[in-house]
Amino acid sequence: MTASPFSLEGRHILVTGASSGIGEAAARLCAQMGARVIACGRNEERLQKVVSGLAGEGHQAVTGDLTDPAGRQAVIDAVPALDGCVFSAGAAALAPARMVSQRHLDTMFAVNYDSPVLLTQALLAKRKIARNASLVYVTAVAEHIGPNATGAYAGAKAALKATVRSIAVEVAPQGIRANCVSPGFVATPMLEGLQAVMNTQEKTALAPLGTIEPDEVAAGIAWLLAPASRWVSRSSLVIDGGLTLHIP
Amino acid sequence: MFQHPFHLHGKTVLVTGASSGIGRAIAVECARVGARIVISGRNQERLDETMTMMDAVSEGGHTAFVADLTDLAQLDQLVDAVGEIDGVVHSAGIDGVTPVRLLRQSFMQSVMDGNFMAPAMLTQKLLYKKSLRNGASIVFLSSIAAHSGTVGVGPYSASKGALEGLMRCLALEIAPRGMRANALAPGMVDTPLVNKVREWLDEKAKMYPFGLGTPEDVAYAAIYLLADVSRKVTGIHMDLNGGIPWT
Repeated sequence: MTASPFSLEGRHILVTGASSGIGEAAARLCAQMGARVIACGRNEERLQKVVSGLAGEGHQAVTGDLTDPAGRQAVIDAVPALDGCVFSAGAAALAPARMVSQRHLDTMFAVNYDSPVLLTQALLAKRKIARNASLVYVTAVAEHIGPNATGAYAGAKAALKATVRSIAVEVAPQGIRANCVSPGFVATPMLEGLQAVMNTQEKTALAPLGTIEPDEVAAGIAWLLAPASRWVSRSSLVIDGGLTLHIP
Repeated sequence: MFQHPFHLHGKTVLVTGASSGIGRAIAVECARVGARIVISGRNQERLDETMTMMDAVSEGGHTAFVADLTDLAQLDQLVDAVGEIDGVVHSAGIDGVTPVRLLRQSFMQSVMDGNFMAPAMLTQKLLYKKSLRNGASIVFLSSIAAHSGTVGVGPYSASKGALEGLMRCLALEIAPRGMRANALAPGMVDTPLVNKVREWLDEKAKMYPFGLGTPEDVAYAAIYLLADVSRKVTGIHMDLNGGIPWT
C-alpha cells in the first residue's frame, strides 16, 4: 500500500494567523492529516489553546507579530526545514477612497502583503523551505470584486497574488510550489470585526451557496499542501460559494 | 478515528470517457477513495479493463455502460441506466486541431458535438430526470486551451471555452439545491489523446516546470471537487498546469 496522496504524515507545516479563523482551521486540519504544525499568532493565550487542542504530537507555538522583523526572526529561528507554509495572517479595515490615509495604506499592506512576502524571503534565504514544499497564501475575492471601501485591503491581496505568481516561477526549479486560496466572505472573527461598519450578513447572503465556514477554506488549503496537488503551482483556488459568478 | 476529508464514501459517481486516459484514472482513483462508480465509454473491452482496475482497489459494485454520448438516444439510455448519483465527471473528449484558414464546418461541428454538446446534453438529461441528488457535484473537463491561444488549436479551444461558459451559468441555476458545477483546466497531460508522437510531447513537456501532468494529477483534483469538503466551491475553473509561467 503506497502512502495516500492526501496525507500530510510527518510533514512540517508553518501556519501563520493560527490563533483564529482560517489559520486556526488550517492548523487543526493539517494536524489531523498527520502534519507537525508550527502555529504562529499574536495572541499567546489563544495560540496556546489552539496548539494544545491539535491532534497528534510535536506541534509548536511561536507567538509574535509578523509585521515586526523580530517576530519574523523568531519564526525563522524556531522552524525546521518546512514542507509547507500557510500564510493566513491578515487583517481587514475599511476606508472609502476619499478617506484613505498613508497610515491606512501602510497598515493594510504591512499585514497583508509585506509580512507574507518578507517571511517568504527570510525562509528562502535561510534555506528553511524543503524541496517539494508547498506554499499557500490566503488572499481574498476582494482582489477581484473590490467591495465598497476595501480599496487598500483588496489592493494588498491583489498585490500578494501577483507576487506569489512570480515567487512560484522562481522556486519551481527546487520543486517548491506556490499557490493562493482566494475565499469569499468567511465566518471568522475578522469578518465579525467589520460588523460595526458593514452589514456582513448582507454580504455573505450574496453568495449562492451561503456563508463559508473556516473549515471549508482549510480543506482547499490542505489539498494544496498535499502531494495530491503535485502538478498545481502558480494558481489561485477560489472558494467563494459562487459569489463572483454573477458579478460582471 | 479521524477520517480525512478527501474521500467519497457513500457516493455514486458517473465518469464518462472512462475507457482510457484521464477518465480511466478518475474512475480508478475515485473508486480507491470509496465511491461507487458508473463508467461509460465507447469501447467495451477497454471499459472492462477499467472495471478490473477499479475492482482491484475497492470493494466493487461498480457498473459500466457502453455509449456514444454524441447520440441522443444513447444518452437517454445511459441516463435511464445510471439511476441516482452524487456526482458526474464529464471526461469524454476529443482533440480538435486545425488552422482556422482550413477549418471545415463539419469538422468544427464534430469537435463541438464531442466536447461541448455531449456533456451539455448529458447534464440536461441528468437534471431533467432528477438523477442528481441534492449536494451533487458536476465536474467538467475543460483545458488550459480555454484560457490561452495556441496556433492551430482553435476548434478545441472554442469547444472548451463554450463548456466553461455553460458551467458558470449552470452553477447559479443549481445552487439552490446545494449542487455545484466546476471545471478542471489541465495543461498537457500524458494520455493517448496527445502522446502518439513522443518526441513532440517531450518538447512540450519542457514548457512545464513540474513536467507533464499525469492522469492521476487530474483525478486527485476531481476528488477534491467531488468530495463534500469543497461544498462551497462552485463556478470555478481549476488550473492544473505544472506552474506554466505564461498563463
